[in-house]
Amino acid sequence: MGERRLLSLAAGTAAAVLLVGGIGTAAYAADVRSTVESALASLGVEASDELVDDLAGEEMLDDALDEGGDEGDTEADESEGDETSDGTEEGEEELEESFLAWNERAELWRTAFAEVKTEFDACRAEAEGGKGDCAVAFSGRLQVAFAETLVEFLQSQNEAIAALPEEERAAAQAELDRRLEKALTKLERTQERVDARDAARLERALDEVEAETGDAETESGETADESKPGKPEKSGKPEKPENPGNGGGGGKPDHAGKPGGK
Amino acid sequence: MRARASLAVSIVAIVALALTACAGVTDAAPSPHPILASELPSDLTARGVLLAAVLLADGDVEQAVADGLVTPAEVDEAIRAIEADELDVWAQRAETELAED
Repeated sequence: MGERRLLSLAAGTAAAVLLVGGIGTAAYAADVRSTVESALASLGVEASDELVDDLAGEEMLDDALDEGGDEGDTEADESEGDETSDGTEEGEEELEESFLAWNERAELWRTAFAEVKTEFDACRAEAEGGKGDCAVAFSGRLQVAFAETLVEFLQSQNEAIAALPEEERAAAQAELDRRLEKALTKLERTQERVDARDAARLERALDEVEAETGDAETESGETADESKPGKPEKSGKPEKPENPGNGGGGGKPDHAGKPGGK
Repeated sequence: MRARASLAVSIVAIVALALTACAGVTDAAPSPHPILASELPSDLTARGVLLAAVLLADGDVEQAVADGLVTPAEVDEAIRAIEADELDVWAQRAETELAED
């Protein structure tokens, strides 16, 4: 009796593995609607079809959604599409199984979220008034963490497969491997995308700092111009490695770069 | 003796009345969740919070904010709601608002 129960649980879990891909690999879907639906599901929100349609109908949403879903996903979508259509025929039993799978995965997800959130809070505490950059960085980390939990969850399902009857094992393992490979690809892509986004943001931030420094230099240069007409550009802090201690001020004006010495 | 008995009956009646009144208070309909009932600031909508949550999980929030698709307040609230497990309450509010439209 207990063994049979264990077997059915293992079968249920394995089936859930197949189903959870539909939920967890949400971002694979090229279609905005399914991305919205599955992203909400991945966050534990059950939204009506009307609400999902409404959200997905947002004009600019397509641009802001995961751009990594374009290439190579069509094939995956097609194969998943088959499963989904088969799956919906199974009805409530599958819903229950997918819920079970979500419950298992949710724990991983919550832990990952908590870690990312801690970093976010620290970022907000440092950034006065709450900078948007924290939310952006948080989003990136969250997406990576989410992809990681899917990989972790799928990897944890090997035991359930081992508990299946022998004749079902090979097929389930093949399916699990396929899902895992996709999840790993997803993780890699997400990481790359987030890294690229972070790098772009860093570059922008550096540009801004440079621009600000440039402005400040120009301003102080102008101030310096008023007091020292012979110094057009430098901000009064010229590089003087030979005389680091010579802070007496105004000591050697002639060497400080007076072009033409007006 | 009779007076005492009548006093005791009165006290019991008063206590019973008081208890009934208290029960009436506690049995009152539970107040709706603040997210469902509160008036939202102009830069916060239930729909926006859900969109922000979707983008946090699977999109580019920065671009979405730059495009005006969601507001920073909605992004912040989405993060808070995910943490507090209240995203479904926002979904509930969005569903209600959608039905009213």
